[in-house]
Amino acid sequence: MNTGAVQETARRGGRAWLTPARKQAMAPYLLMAPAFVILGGILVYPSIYNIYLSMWKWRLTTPHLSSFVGLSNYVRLLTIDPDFWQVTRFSLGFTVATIALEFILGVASALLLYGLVRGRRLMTSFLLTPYMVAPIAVGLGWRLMWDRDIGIVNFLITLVGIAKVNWLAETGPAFWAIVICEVWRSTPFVTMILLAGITALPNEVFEAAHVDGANRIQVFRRITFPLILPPLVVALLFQTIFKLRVFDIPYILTEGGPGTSTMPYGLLIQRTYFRYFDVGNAAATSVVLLVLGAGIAFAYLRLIQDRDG
Amino acid sequence: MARGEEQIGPGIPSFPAARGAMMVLLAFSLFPIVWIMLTSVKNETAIFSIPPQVFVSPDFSSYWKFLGVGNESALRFIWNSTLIAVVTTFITLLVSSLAAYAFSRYRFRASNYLLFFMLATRLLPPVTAVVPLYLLFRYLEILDTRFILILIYTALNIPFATWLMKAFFDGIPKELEEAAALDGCGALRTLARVTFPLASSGIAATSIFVFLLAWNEFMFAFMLTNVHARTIPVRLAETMGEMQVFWQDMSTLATLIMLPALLVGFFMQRYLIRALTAGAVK
Repeated sequence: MNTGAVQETARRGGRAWLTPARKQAMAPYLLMAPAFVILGGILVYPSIYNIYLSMWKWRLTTPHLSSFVGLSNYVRLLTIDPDFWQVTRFSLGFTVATIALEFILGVASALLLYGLVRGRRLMTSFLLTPYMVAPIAVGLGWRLMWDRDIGIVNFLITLVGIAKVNWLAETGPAFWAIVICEVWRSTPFVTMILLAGITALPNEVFEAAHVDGANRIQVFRRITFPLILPPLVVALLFQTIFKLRVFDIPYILTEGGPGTSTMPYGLLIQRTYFRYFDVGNAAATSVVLLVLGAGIAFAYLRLIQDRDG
Repeated sequence: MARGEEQIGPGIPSFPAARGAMMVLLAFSLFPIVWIMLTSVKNETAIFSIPPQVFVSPDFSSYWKFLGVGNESALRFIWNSTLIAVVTTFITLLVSSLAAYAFSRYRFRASNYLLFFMLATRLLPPVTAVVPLYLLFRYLEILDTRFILILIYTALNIPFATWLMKAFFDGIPKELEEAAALDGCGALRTLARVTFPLASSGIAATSIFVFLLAWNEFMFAFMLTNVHARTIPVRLAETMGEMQVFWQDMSTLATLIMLPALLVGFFMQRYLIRALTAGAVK
């Protein structure tokens, strides 16, 4: 900015610091301010405040008995709380099972979609539907399908001579009922990411491989797969983190049961807080979930960096 | 891509087996949704019949009940959901377009850190905020209002929406804005007359996404509302807690919840796919 303008502002007095150059420098911060204020106030600050809350023994029903207890909520959670480990076991098993299945199904559907000569857009639109509709609504649909007496799944398996299964009331079947519902719902996301990745690949590579006489399986293993790995890892990172916070589908299918065998962290936090009014323990569980998620994100990032470097 | 006698490329070609697999995949994807809709027009006898009935004379009584004005009307919940989703979309788009524009157009020292910080908040599990927010909203006596859900949904959507909008702004040549400035357009006028109109398809894609996420959300609505601000997903979950299971009522509510997503899926699918993939593939 020219000095004349600065002097001009200075001469008018009082607001000399607000030079056009400074105005220009402040503009991006002003534009971002609303977004960061909302994000900070509603998401970031509560999450930090939560760490503080987790160090209190505090029940909403008996607030006068509250006391600062340091890390003892964590000690209790990690050593004697049976629900916490059950929830952790479910969450990890659920994450591994769903990610593995979604990965396989996602790759297969993306390759199938890409190979379609006609109607690819219409087909994509159909396959995307499960991802767009509300989890709570489709969860209800699956609950109907898994029902012991009127469910279509039991009807179909009795047709081929298998005995009825009480899907949502037995530990093993309930786990798989939830896994299948979640895989059904979120595979389209993996498919879309992969399809976009494959579509962006340069065609010359495949022509060269064709000329060299590579077969389709070799092409997939040696060319397609390594090339689509980067977007895939990013997609998997987000999927893994989203799996740990699953809530709607276990809630509508089993409410965490039988017992606590299919209970996700979100539901455990909800129970601890809204049923037992235990602020400290609910907060401590949230912090553990936060740390777990951050750990997984960090591991993925290391994985990406190691591969690049 | 060479289509015709032989395909060269990464896709699985359309052999009969591949076409068969595609059909299975299609059936698997759509069946549960169709089944919910079908159940919503079956009366109790039809629902409990074995083998399951597919062709029934439709019984719309649940729809009249929920969409009518009687005792069990669900219009109040639909209105809450609609209002919350629309206002959330509007505020999120406004706030994140401004931030995205700043990230896209200004190079300044902190910009990379701020962008990273914003994206990193997506790694925070939203449930972590529930307990502190509940205490705060209780203190302010604004629990069970639509306002708090709008605020929360806006916060949850800002990182993703900003990232998306930034990608769309990045695609608009800076030269166009410079030309407008040369012609005497002020900064705000340039934004309103040049940049935003050019980004309109990006704005549409982002809006659709934000709207659906807000419309579909269940967890926060379930924990932070009671009577006044209940949304339609919470109404559905309540039905489940009753002693007797009313499949037809529940399927009807589920169908009503799915409706906007299905409409969008068929009429605006182009935008949806763009929004889904722009975030992950650069």
